[in-house]
Amino acid sequence: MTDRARRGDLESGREEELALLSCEQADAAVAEVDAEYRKQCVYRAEGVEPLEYFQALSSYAEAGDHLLTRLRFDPSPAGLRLWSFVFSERKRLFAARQGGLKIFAVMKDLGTMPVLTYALAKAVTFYADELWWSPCLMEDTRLLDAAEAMGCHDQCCYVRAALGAYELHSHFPEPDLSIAAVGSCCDDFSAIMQLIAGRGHKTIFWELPLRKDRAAHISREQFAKTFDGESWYQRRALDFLVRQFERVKLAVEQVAGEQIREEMLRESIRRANKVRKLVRQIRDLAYGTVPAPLAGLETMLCEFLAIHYCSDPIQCAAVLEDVLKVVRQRVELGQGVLGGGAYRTVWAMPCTDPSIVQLWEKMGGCVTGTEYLISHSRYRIRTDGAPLRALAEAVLNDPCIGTTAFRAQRVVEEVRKYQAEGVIIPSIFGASHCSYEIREISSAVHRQCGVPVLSFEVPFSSKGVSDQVMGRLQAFAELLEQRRKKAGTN
Amino acid sequence: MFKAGVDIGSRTVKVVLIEAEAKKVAAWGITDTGPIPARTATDLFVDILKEHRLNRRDVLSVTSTGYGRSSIDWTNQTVTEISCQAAGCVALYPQLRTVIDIGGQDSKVIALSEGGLVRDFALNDRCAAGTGRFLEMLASIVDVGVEELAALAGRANEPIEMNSTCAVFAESEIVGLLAQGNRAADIARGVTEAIARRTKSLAGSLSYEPKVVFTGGVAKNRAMVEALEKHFACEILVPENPQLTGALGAALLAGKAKTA
Amino acid sequence: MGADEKHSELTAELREEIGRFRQSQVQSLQAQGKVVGCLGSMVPLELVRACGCRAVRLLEAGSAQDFEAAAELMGADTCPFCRCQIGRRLGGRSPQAELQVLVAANHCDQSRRSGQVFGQHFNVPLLPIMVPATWEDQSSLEMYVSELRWLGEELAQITGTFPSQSRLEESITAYGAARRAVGGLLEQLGNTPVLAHELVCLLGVADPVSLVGFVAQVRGQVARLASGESVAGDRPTVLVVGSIMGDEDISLLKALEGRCRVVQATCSGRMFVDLQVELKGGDAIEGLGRAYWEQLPSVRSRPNSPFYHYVNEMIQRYKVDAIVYRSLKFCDLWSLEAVRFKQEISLPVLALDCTYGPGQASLVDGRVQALLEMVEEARR
Repeated sequence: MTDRARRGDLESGREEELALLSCEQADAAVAEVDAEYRKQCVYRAEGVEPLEYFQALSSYAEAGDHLLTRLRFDPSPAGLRLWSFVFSERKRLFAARQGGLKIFAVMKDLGTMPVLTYALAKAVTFYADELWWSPCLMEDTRLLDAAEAMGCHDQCCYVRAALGAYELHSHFPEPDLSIAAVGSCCDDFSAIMQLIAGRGHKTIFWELPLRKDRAAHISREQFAKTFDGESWYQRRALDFLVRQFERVKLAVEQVAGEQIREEMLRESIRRANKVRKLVRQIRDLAYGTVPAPLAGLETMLCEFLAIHYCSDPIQCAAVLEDVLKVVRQRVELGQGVLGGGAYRTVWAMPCTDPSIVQLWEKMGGCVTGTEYLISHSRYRIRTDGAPLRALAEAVLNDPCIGTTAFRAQRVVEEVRKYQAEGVIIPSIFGASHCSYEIREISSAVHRQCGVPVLSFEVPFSSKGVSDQVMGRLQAFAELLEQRRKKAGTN
Repeated sequence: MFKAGVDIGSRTVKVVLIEAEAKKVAAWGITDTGPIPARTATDLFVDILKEHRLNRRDVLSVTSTGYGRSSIDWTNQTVTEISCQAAGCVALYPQLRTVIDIGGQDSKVIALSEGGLVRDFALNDRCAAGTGRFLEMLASIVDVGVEELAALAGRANEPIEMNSTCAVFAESEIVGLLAQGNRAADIARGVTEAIARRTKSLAGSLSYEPKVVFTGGVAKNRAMVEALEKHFACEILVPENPQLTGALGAALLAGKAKTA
Repeated sequence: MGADEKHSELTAELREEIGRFRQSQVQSLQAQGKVVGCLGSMVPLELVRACGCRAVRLLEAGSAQDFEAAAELMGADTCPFCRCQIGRRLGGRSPQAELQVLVAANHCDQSRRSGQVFGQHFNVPLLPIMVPATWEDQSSLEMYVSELRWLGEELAQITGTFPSQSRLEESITAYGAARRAVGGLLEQLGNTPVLAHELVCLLGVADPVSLVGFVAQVRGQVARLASGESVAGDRPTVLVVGSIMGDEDISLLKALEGRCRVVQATCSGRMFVDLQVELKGGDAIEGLGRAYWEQLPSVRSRPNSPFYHYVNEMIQRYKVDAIVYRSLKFCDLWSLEAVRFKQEISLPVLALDCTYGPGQASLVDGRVQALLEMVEEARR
């Protein structure tokens, strides 16, 4: 926690709560933003018509992401720019296609392959996995229905929306190459990627290795620690990964018609590290300061930018720099978007329905730490040695390729680091890892931190959060309140 | 002489008697399955024979079908409801290519070849959300008879989209929606739409083709027919007695080679 | 006595013999070194045995009771097979109850994670091995072989017995003989798929040398059974494709029995028996790894074209008329491939998404009957 985060500051009355904006208010705020600032918010790429993206959020709602009309937004221009940037990705992808750029779809590795593909100037990369959010954002089952028609039914998690999007061509142009990570990852997405490939979309599969538990082994297996992230891995796994990366690199070069030279990759790593650093700084301030200078959803958007830059690495860094500036200012001034007494909770999964995060905040809670399955995208990538090997090493921080206990430990560390009072796990029906992780995470958190855990399934919703979810969140808030009273901290 | 088809379903038992040569329906009956399906089926068969002053010897062959098809020991053969529905529906609509059957316990879509043979089929067995049980549950919560649901759905202003894909969860969702002051009519329309959507997705795996016939008890619900027409984007035909097509098919198949 | 009665009697006799042999093998498990459970078809039994252990391939699953027993440790949306591995241990059922070490392959996310639950909850040492899903690059095979070397070293640390070249050769020979012995009987048991399946499952639990002896003992009975078949020869041939069929998970085979000739091409079917490891004096682990890698095609491979190639080969070899594609609920790798499978294969395909429980038998029976009616009708 930062110095300013001590409760003493709260008691000294420095807290100032900034109001979040409705969609309508956000539109008005966007309209008032200085024209000079707006001019900075442009997607530029070689051969592509410059594309302004800082627009009224309702325009993105009208284009399909209807949930935006029900959400509330950070009042700063930087915050509104962040939302605009994220929701304009679709436009950028189609513009890039028109401009003749190569389009790479990456899936499942969450943070490393885009570093490779963005080494090329005339390429754009996006995560098809992100379509996971779309049914809830669109308040519409179109993508899920399209997936179901191809056999991908509701036993499978919402990531099946990606299959629907491939088929409907609704969210992205046909990729020149889809780069799919399989192996030590969830089964439903591996199955979906096969269906995508089976329908003729050009796909290269590469393997996420299994990261073994060093403490459990007794043979002479050689282990090493990742450069940043401190994950132990078998050396063999890294050697294997390097060969996987070499294969993918070759395939990418063939599609792009251009070789990725070492210095190009080094530059891409440098850019990735810059973004990663910005994300680390933002989340440290957002989660570690009372009152929270940034709300849960805005921080979540920043976190996810680290995995793929939302199809524009340059603007991504600029957006994050802006957000960081605002966050720093607020911390300095003691301003927060949530009350200082908010119930501090770590979220151990991203929530399919983002409005649930805001519902929790409305009920008096806040997000103060996350383990969104993408924590490996925040760590620094090694800049010494061979860049491809450095990138491969970064994969080995992935919390999903190791034991369930490893990920549970990451959650525990977040609880400790940000002094959380509870953990929330919004699970997803059909996501195989959830069914196994919930018990392990709950048990580790109870045992090591002594704080309660709430887990619940998030059903698809087109008309707001269900009564069941609301009831659970409210009960959890009551529970945390009781614990405070008992501990005499309230 | 006659042939008989006995369809022992989860909710109702149906018996159809046809003239062996002319293949015309001579008699039929339908009754609730009750706790002992075999006894219900036997009683219904005997009652029909009595009513028409016939005895067992007048019936050349009996085929049983439906989930309880093996529970009676006085039939000459058992044939699945897939084959029977197809045979019954093709007899009524020779150009038929697809059968949608939604019963109390399951729903099915049968794809037929040009000659009326079963080409492929798919059954919903994952969840009750695509079956008549969903409608029964809704009727019980909103306190109307199942037969009144179509009229109720017809009064909908704005159908409420059901979030839950499973009938079990949907029950609490419906209760919640009513508690929030939503109209029963809008909910009824929403449930109807949900079943139609599920049925469409079931059909999606078969590459179905029009002409489509809708059978089973749920086919009597006009709102459901309309919802299916919307989702399948074609006219949906409903036989006069949509619950009897399975038994009719069984009667038509009676005397043919035994397959099980 | 009529031909049908004689047939039933012989079938029942053989089933009893298999049951007795199986029972004796389970009882003797701990007398032959550490009992090592092998979760997944890519864990070579030969290697485990060469380390002085008794290898048990986990094929047992699963009653509704086992399924429910595991509810305390995993969510509702989990694969019944994986759940039942835990449930059976909780219920003290063999052979899960006897396991002292578990080797779990990452064939799927759920086998990987359920292996972890098993190891942690029952305090059983867990040796996870990585079996790459990708195969187009040589590095995947090399990784698999290097995982087998690692497994050998880990097991050697536990047992004190290193899988030397000679020990491996002996073990490969023993299992090779057992596979050939069982395989030799399978062609004669096409009309009694339940019996055939029970015989194949013995490969998972029995000591291979004893199994060869047992097969020699029942060979005559199997021949009598086959020669006395009253089943008409023109019945259709059905290929069963899918994930592991547990030895209690036979409602599907029961539904097929007597109605058609059955060839099982599941993960615990013909490929498990037909596997041949060639020893040409080269490195035994490498030979073993290569044989498993090349001869056990799986739907999980990415891309999974070798799996389709295998299915088409089986269709040609056995002149298959129809296919039953069996998946387990919440087994995504099989379940989500079903629609594509139907599109790729130009034969009637019945896709069954099964679970364990008393209601399954009648459901499966009805659908199998409908499939066969469809095939018969098309033949007329």
